[in-house]
Amino acid sequence: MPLICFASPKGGVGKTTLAANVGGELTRAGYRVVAMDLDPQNSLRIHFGDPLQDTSFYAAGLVRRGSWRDSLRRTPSGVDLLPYGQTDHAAALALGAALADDPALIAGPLDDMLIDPAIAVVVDTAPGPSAALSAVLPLTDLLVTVLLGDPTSISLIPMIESGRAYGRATVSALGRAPGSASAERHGFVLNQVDLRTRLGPPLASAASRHLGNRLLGVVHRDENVGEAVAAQRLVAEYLPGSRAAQDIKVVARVIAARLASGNNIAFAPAPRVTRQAQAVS
Amino acid sequence: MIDFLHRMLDGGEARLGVKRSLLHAAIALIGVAAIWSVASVPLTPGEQAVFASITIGIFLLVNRFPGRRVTVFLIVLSGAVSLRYIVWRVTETLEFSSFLQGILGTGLALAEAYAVVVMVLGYVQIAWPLDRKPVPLPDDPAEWPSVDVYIPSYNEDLSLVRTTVLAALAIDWPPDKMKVYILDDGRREAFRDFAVSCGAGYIIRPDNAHAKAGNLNHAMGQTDGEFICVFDCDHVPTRAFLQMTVGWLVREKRMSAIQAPHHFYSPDPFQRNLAAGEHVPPEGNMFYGLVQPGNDFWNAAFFCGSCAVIRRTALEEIGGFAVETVTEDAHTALKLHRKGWHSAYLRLPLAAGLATERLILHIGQRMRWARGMLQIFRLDNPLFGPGLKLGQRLCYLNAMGHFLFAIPRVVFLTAPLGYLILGQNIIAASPLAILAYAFPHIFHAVATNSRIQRNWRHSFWSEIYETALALFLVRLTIVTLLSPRRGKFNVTDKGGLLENGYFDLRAVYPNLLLALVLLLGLGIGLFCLFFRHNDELTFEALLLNSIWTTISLLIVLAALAVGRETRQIRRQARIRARLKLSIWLPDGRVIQGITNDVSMGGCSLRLDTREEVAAETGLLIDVDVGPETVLLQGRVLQSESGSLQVDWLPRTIAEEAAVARVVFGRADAWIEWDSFPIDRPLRSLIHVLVSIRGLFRPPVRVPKQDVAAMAAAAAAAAAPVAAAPSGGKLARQTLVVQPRRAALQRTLAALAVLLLVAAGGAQAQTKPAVGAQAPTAAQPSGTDLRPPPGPVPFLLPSPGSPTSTSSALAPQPATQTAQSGSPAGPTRRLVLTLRQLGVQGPMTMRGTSAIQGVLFGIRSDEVVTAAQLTLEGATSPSLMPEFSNITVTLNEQYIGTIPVDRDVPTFGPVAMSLNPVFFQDSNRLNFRFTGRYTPDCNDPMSGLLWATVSDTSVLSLTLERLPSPRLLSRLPLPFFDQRDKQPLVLPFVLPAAPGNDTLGAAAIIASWFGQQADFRGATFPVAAQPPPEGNAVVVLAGREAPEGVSLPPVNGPTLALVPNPNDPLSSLLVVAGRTGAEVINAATALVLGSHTLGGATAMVQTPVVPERQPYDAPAWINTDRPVRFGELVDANQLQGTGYAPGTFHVPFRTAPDLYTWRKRPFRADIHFRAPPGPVVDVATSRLDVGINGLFLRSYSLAPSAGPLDWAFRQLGFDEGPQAAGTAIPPYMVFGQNDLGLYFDARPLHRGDCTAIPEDLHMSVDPDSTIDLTRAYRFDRQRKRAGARC
Repeated sequence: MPLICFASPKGGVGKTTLAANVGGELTRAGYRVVAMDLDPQNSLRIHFGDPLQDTSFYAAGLVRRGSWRDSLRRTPSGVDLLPYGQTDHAAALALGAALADDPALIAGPLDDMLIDPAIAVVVDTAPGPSAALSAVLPLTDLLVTVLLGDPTSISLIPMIESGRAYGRATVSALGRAPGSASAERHGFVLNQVDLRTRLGPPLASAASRHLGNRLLGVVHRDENVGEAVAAQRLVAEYLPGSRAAQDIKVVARVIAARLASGNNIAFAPAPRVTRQAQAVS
Repeated sequence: MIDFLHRMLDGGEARLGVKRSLLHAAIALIGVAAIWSVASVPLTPGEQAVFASITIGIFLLVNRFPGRRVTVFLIVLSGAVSLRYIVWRVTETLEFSSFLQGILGTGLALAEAYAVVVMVLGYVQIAWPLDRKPVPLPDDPAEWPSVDVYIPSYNEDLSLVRTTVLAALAIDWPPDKMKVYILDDGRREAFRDFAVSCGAGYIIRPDNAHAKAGNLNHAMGQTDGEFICVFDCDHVPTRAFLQMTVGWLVREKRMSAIQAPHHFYSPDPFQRNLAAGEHVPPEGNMFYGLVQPGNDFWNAAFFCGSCAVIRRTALEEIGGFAVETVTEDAHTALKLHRKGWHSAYLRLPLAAGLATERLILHIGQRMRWARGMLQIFRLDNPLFGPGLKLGQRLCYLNAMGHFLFAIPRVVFLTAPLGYLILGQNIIAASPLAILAYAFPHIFHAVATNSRIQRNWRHSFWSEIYETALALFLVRLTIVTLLSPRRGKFNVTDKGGLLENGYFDLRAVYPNLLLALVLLLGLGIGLFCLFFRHNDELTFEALLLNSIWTTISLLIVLAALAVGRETRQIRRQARIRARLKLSIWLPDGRVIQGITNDVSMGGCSLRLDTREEVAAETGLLIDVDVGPETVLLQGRVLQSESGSLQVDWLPRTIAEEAAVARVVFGRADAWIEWDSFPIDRPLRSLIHVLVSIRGLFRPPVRVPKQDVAAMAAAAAAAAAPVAAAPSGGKLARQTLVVQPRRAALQRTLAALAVLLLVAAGGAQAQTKPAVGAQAPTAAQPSGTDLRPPPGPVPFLLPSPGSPTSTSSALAPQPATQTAQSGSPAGPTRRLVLTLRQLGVQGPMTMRGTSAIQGVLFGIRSDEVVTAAQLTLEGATSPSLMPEFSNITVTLNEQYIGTIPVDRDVPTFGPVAMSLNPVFFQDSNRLNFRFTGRYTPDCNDPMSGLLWATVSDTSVLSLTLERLPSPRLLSRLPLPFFDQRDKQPLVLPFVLPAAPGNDTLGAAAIIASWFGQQADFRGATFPVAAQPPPEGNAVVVLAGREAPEGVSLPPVNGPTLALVPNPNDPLSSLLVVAGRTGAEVINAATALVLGSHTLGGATAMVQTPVVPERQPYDAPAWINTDRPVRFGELVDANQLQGTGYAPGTFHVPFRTAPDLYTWRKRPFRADIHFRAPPGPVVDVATSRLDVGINGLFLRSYSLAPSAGPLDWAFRQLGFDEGPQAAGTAIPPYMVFGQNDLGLYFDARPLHRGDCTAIPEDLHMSVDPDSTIDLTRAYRFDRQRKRAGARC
C-alpha cells in the first residue's frame, strides 16, 4: 500500500543503491516489496543479481499498457522487481513525452498495486526532473531525497525545501511547505558520508542539525557497497557486518516506522505464512 | 526515609513534650533492662550451651526472611549475645593470681570489649544504609551553579594526571560554568604546558604548607565557583559526575557536600596477589557500598578527599579545608557537621581510579589514614564538642575508633601464646564454658555481618585486611595517641610497574616474625598434646589454644601472601566494556564490531565478520558511546579471525581527550563495580584458605629484555604527546593560569557560510519557545554543552533518534537576541490588572505572611518581548524606612524594591520594567515584605507590620507570536491554551450552506473546546473564509476547500493542521470527510481520541463510542465510589506556603437531583500535612473546611499521636498525614460545588526578639476523598416509591 519514492535533483548520489537495499531490508523485515525502476539506466536490477544480458522490461513498455503482474520478477532477495528494460535515447524520450501527456500510464498500474495493503512499492527514479517523477509524486507516501555528504549536495537543500526541485505543489502536498514544521512525507538520506575527510563530519552534523527529524539516516562511505554491486548482491547479503549494511538497516527501520506512524496508512509486516504462500504462488 | 531523616535532623528531641520524653525514656529503660537481664543472668556452662543453641536456632530461622526490620532484630540479638559474652568475661573469667596473668587477662578482655564496642557501633552505623538517588537539576542549564574542579597533584606522573584532566574537561556541564584547575604543588613546567595546551587552569603557590589541604585552600582564594569539586589526580571522572551529584546541592541549601564512591578499576594488592582475590569485592567496597550510605542515614557521610562536590560558602564558614590533621577530608567534614551543615553520599560509581599498586604503598596510605583519624580523635573528639547529633557522634566515633584496631588485633592473634608459651591461664574458665560463651558470640557476629555486608565484603576478609596492617600500626597508634600533633602528609604513589613478581619483605617482615612465633607456639601445643600425659582439663585447654593458634597462623599466612607481589607489566589497566564500533580500513571498507576491553593504550575488539587485517594497518575507529560517537585513530597490533588488538594513536590533545572519553568518560562505565556474589561465609572461608596457597607457588620470571620492551611499548602508547616532558620547575610563587575553553575547539570557517545559506529557509523554525525543555541529566548531551573538540571526533546524531536531533536544535538560550536575523512575528500588547490575573482583593502582607504572589501563564505560542509592572499600594506608616521595603520578584528573579515612606503611606503608581528573559510558561510574581517598626525587637505578629499591593496594579506585556508546531498530538494547542486566562475566541469556517452533519460536527468540536475553556467562557464566531489573523477550525464535507487553504488528500474522516493562508503563523484545524457522516466521525475521533493522534495529518478510524450510561457525563463527579481530590484538582493546587496559604478549592459538579436524608450526610475524608509543633503553635492553628462558602468544621493541627508513635517513627515507620472526617450536609450540594480548605496556622509565640520560621509548607493530601455514594438519584427514588405503591 505505501509508495516510497527515491529521488534526487543530483545524479550519482546512490538513489538506486538505496532503493534496492532499502527494499531488501524491508523484505527481510517481513514486508512484501515491489521495486520499480523508472530510470532509463536500468540499473536497479543489477543489485538483485539480474544477468546483464537480461532483456526483460516493464517501464520501457508502459506505452503498450501491458499488465505489471506479467513483468514482475521474483529476485533471490525476495523483492519483486519491475525492471525498466533496455531502451535507447529516442524511446526514453518518447516514454517521457507519453507520460507527460498521460500520467495515468504509470499512475494506473501503481494505483492497482497499492490496492493490496500488504505490498510496499519502492520506486527508483532518474536524477533531476522527469515526467515519470512528476507522475509518481502525487501518489507518493514517502519521498526520500538522497544526497551525498558533500558541499554540492548540501547546497541543494534550500532549493529542495523551496519546492523548486520537485515542483511547489508537490512539495506542499507532501507536507513540506516552507515554514511548516511537519516532515511527515518527505525525508532525506545522506549517503557516502566520509568521516576521514576534514569536511565530512562537520557537514554531516550540520546537515543533520538543519534537517532535524526529516533526516531518515546517514549512510557512511563504505567500499563494501561498491564490492556488493560488483558481486550483484545487496550489501546486507554481501557483508552483513559492514557499516553500510548497518546504516541502510537503520534507514529502512526509520522508513518503516515513519510509514507506520503516518497513521493514515495501515502498514505492517505481512504474516510470514502469507509471504511464503505468495512466494509459492 | 528521607522524611524520617529530616525529622531526625530538624525536629530533634526538643519538640517532644516532657510527658512523651518520660514515656520514651521509660520504654528505653525497659528495653535496656530486658537486654541486660538476657546478658547477665547466670547460667551453668551446660545451660549456656542450650541458650547458645536457642539463639543460633532463632538466627537460622529468622535469617530466612528478608527485610531491614528483620536485620535490625538480628542485630539486637547479636548485640545481646555479645554483651552476654563480654559481661561473663569481665565478671567471671578474670583472675589475678599472678601479675603477668592479670596483665594478659585484662589486656585480652579489654581487646574483646573494644571489639564488641566497635561491632555495636558498626551495627548502628550500617543498620539502615540510605540508598540516596540523584536529584534532577533545574530544566534550564542557565540556572545551574558554577563549579570549580580542582585536581591537586604533588609528585604524580603527568601521564596519570593528564587522563584525569582531560576527562574532567569532558564532564557535561555548561562550559562557562565549569573551570578545571590543576593545583600543582610540584610546580612542574610540564604540567603548566599541558594545562595551557588542553585548556585547563593551572595554579601553584609559594609554599607547600599543609600539603593537600593547604593546596586546596590556596586555590579557593584564587577562584570563585559556587561549588568546588575535588578529584585526586588518579580519579578519572565520568561525564555524568556533576549532573548526577550537584542536583542535591542545588535542592538542599544546607547541604555542604556530596560524596561519590572511590571506585578502583585496577585490582588492589589483595585482589591481585591473593589467589582467590578476583572473586571477592575490593577492600574499599565495604566503606563506599555500606558504611558511607549508613553514615548518610545519620547525616554523617563524610568527605573522602576526592570525587566530591563541596559548597564554597560552607567551606568558607569553617575557614577552608581543615589543616590540623593529615586526613584533611574527614576533619573538614566533621567541622562542617559541627556547624550544622548536612552532607550526602551518592552510591553511584561516577569516577574511577587506580588502586594502590603494591602492599607497601597500601600500608603507607593506611598509616596516614590511621594517623589522621587518631589525630582527630585526640584533637577534636567527635564525642565531645558542639554541634553534633548523637548519631553523627557515633558514626564519627566508629570511623576513628576503627583505626584503633591494631593493638586489639595483635592481642587476638597472640593471645593463645600466653598459655602455650608463657603458661599463663589468661581466661579463667573451662574450655567448654569458653566455647559455650564465645561460639554464639562469634557465630552471631559473623552471620549477622554476613547478612548485612552481602556483596560488599565477604566474611573473614576483614581479618586479612587488618592483619596485614596491624603490626605496622601498633607503634603509630601509641605515638599518635600520646602526641597527636606529629606526623606529616605522605603521598600515595600509584601507577607503577612491577617487572618481576617478588616478595616484598619490607611490607611483611613483622608478620613473618609473628608467623614464626605462632608456629613455635603451635609446635609446643601439639607437642604437649601428643607427647605429654595431660588431665582432661589441660588437654582441652591445649586443644583449644592450639586450634586458636592455628586460626591465627592461617590469618597471618594469608596476610603474608598479600606481600607476594605478582608482576604487573601493563601500564594501562584494561577495562571490560562492550562498545559498538566500526573500523575504517585503508581500502575504504567499513566493518562493524564490538570491543572486549578498552584502555588508554588501546582496545581489543571483535569484528562482525572474520576479516583478517594485517598488523600495523592504520585504522579509523568510530566508537559508539551512547550519546555520541567518537572517532579515534588506531593501529592494528595483531589480528586473528576477526579479533583485533588495536593501539590508539592520538596525535593531538583533542584526540587523546577523545580516547579518555571513550575509556573513562562513559556515564555507565563503572556500573559493574558491585557485581560480586553475595557473601556465603563458608565459601568465603575456603577462599581465604585457598589464598594462602599463593605463598608457596613458584615465582614467574620474565626475561629482562622482554620486560623492558613491553614497558617501553606501553609507555610509548600511553602518552605519545606527552613524550619528552621538560623537567623544569617553576619558581615558588602564586601563579594562576585561567582555563581557556576554546583550546580544544577548531572550526572550519568556510563551512559556516555554506550552512548559513542552507539554514536560511527554515530560520523561523529554530526560534526557541520560551521555557523550551532543556536537556537534563537523564540524557547527557554533549552536543549542547560542549563543542566537538577538534575536527576529527564529532557528534553525529544517530539517525532517526528524536532525542539527539532535538537536542541538537535546542541549545539556543531562551533569549530573544538570537533571533535578530529572522522575520519578527506580529506583536500584541496586553494590559492586565492583578485582579484579572486572579488576585481576589488587595494583597496584604504581614509580619507572619511576608510573601504574596500571583500566578499567571503565557501562551505557548507567544513570547514576551517587553513588560512593565505599574504598582500601587500602601505601607504601614509605623515602619522604619531603612529596614523596610517590598521586594518584587518574577520567578525568583529580582525586579525591584518599593521603599517605605513614613509620611506618605501610600505609594504608586511605581513603574518597573521587567526583563523579558525572566518570563516562563507559567510565572509567579511575588511581593516580599520586610519590615521593622523598632530597631531592636520586632514582634512578627504585631499589627504594625503590614503592606498592601493594590489589585488594580497593572502588568502590561508586549507579546510576539511564535510559529507553533503543527502537530495533532499537541491539541488543543495552539487553538486553546490552558495558561491563557482570557475567554476563548475560536472562529469556525463553514461552507456557505452547511449540511446538518457539518453543523453537528462543528457543534461537537465547539463543545469540546468550550468544555476545556471552562471558567474562561468561549465564543465561536462563524465565517465562510479563514480569518485574516489567528487560528480557526475548518469543518467541511466533500472536497470544496475554502479559498487558499491547501488541503491534504481527503480519503476518509480526516484531521489536519494546515497554515492559515492569511496568517502563516496561525493554524487551521481541518475536520474533513468525503461525506457528512465522515465529518461527524472525524469530529468524534478528535474529541474522544485527541491524545492518540500524531503528525500534522491523520486519517482517523471511526471511534467506537460506548453506550451512554445515566450520569456518565465526564464533568460530573462519580457517585459510585469515593472520589480522590487528586482526580478533581491538580495536586499542586492542594499545597501552599506560609502560615495562611489561602483557600484550597476542590470544585466538583454533579447532577442536581441528588437526594438523601438530613441525618445521612455525605462524607469527605480529608488528610492533610502541616509542620509539627515547634514550628507552628499547634494548639491555635487549624484547618477550616467549608462548602460553597458555608463553614463546616475546624480541625486542630495538633497531632493526635498515641504513645507508641515516637517509637514507631524511630524505627522508620512513616508517619501518615493527619486525618479529618467531615460530614457535608446534603442540602449544601448543588449542581456546581466548591469544597474549600483553609489553613490558618499561627507561629509559636517565642517573644519579641526571635525570628519565626518562614516558608512553611502545608498540603491537603490528594488521596483525600469525597464520598457521595450515599446519595440516591431522584429519578430512581421515584421509581422505588412507585414500586412500593
